[in-house]
Amino acid sequence: MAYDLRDYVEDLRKAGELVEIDDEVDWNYEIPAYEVISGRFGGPAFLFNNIKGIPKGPRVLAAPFVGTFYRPHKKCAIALGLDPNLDRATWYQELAKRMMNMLRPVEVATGPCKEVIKMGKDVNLLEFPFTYHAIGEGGRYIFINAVIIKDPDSDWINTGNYAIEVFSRNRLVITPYAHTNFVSIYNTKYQLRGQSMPVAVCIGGDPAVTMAAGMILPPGVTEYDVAGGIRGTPMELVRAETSDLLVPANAEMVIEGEIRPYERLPEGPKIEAFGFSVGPRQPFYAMRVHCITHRKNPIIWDIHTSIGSSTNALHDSLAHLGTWAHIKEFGWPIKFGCPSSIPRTGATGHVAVYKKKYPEDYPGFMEDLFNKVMGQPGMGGVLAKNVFFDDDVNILDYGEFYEAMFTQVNPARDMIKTHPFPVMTIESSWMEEWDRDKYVGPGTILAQKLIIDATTKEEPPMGVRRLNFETLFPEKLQKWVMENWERLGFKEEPRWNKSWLEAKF
Amino acid sequence: MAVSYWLYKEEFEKKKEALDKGEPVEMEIMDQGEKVWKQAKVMIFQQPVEGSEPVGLLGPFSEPHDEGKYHIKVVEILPSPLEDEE
Repeated sequence: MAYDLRDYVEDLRKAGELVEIDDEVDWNYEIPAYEVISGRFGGPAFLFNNIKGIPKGPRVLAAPFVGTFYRPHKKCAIALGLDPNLDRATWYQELAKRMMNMLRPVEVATGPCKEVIKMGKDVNLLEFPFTYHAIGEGGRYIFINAVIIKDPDSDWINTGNYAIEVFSRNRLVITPYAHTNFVSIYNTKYQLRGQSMPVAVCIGGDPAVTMAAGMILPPGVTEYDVAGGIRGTPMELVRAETSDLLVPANAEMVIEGEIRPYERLPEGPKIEAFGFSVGPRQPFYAMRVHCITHRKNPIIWDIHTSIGSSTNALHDSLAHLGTWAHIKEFGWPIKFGCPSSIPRTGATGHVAVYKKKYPEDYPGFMEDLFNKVMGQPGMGGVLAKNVFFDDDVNILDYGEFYEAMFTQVNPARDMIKTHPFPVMTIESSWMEEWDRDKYVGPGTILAQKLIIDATTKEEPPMGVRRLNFETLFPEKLQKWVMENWERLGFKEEPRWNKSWLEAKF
Repeated sequence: MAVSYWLYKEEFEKKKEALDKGEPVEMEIMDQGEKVWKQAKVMIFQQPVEGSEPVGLLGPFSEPHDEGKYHIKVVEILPSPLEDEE
């Protein structure tokens, strides 16, 4: 039996990471409030069984991926049967290894997602507890999902996780960023050919599918294959009711429909994956919903975007792997890429660890490298800042990150502004209404980017070296301290950066 | 103050000349019960009138303000965009 969201709920319960609540709660503000508070202390997930105004049946799983400051991946690890106490470097290495063993999905005849089927006029999105997340939000949003489309010219199935506004009983507005494969496939193929694009929005199922959907993978990579890799078994898929799309057989819900050429609906403003509100209300991709299939008593999982929320945890635990996949594919002289820099605020800076002295530096090398990184499909539109470090700086340790930022950067020499790139509207808050027509397209604006070169420019003088736990003591002693820490009576788990120094991605 | 609807501020500013004229204008209103936007014909007032309901304005970056400063009378809820074809 394939792993699904209900197995995950049970695994969370066994790990002491689930609180089940039978009291009546409201989809309007109340459910999301639990996650925001849980996110402040790396708290539990919540399963709500009784939702105000919703006939008994649908349930909501909130805060499903909330993690801690140093272990944002703790629940992701539970979902994949891994130790939630793995340190970050070990987690990334393990996931990177699993990703490389992609497994093709298998098609099955039917599955639990077909237990209830509603078509045409029976479709009513408003009868499900999709939540309202914040004061000032421009609507109810499905923040955690896997949006499934297919390249019309190949077998490539693309899956992504986007903010989706529930516009009406049978309309959704999907808001992928401009750099995503979704936009590329729809804009350059379906729309230009005057064709309608079949779409399916999957909610629940194996968490591995949604995890893979959240990575920004290179074009041509099918996220189902990656999900199979990180799970270790192939995903089971079933045909959609209204198109040829393959959808997860054990999803809690699948919303099927189409996006017709040039059809948009107004969307937003909303809270974003980076903990800020974004606007203005602007046209985004309009999905006509023709069918909903779901399990009996479906569990609608829900995430928030505030600091420490599941969104942050997913960014900090998984988004890096998409960057790593690009690094691997294109052979850049970079050890690791990490699109998340400021603790627990999601992707607010793009960070790469530059493998120093390979190839030999030359004037303008960093800018060249940056342009190569940003020139790749799926990477170029992401963020406005890119920081490069030496590869012995553990960018997963915020102390080392900031130390390098403040000690290795001469603003006059090491901060380089580029020519304008498309960047996301998250950074459009400075823009006045009358400027928008000039600079703003759906989900993107044109702006300069900033490269920060935080690599060491000279050899340390007189043999000066970094003083920390890893360099001060013999390795044997370090190991002994780590292994005996708890036995000596300390409760807080120590962090040992040895795994980063030895990491081979 | 609790309001029944939000109006999108930028759209409201463009249609403000209809204020207190008693003539319906077409605009998006966000129903605070369902938390979805609806296309509607409404009359806009500065003071409550019979059958009117208080509204707030929503700024372009999720900032609600002027709650209860204006009131609207919903004349007709129109089909949502793209809805009329089906």
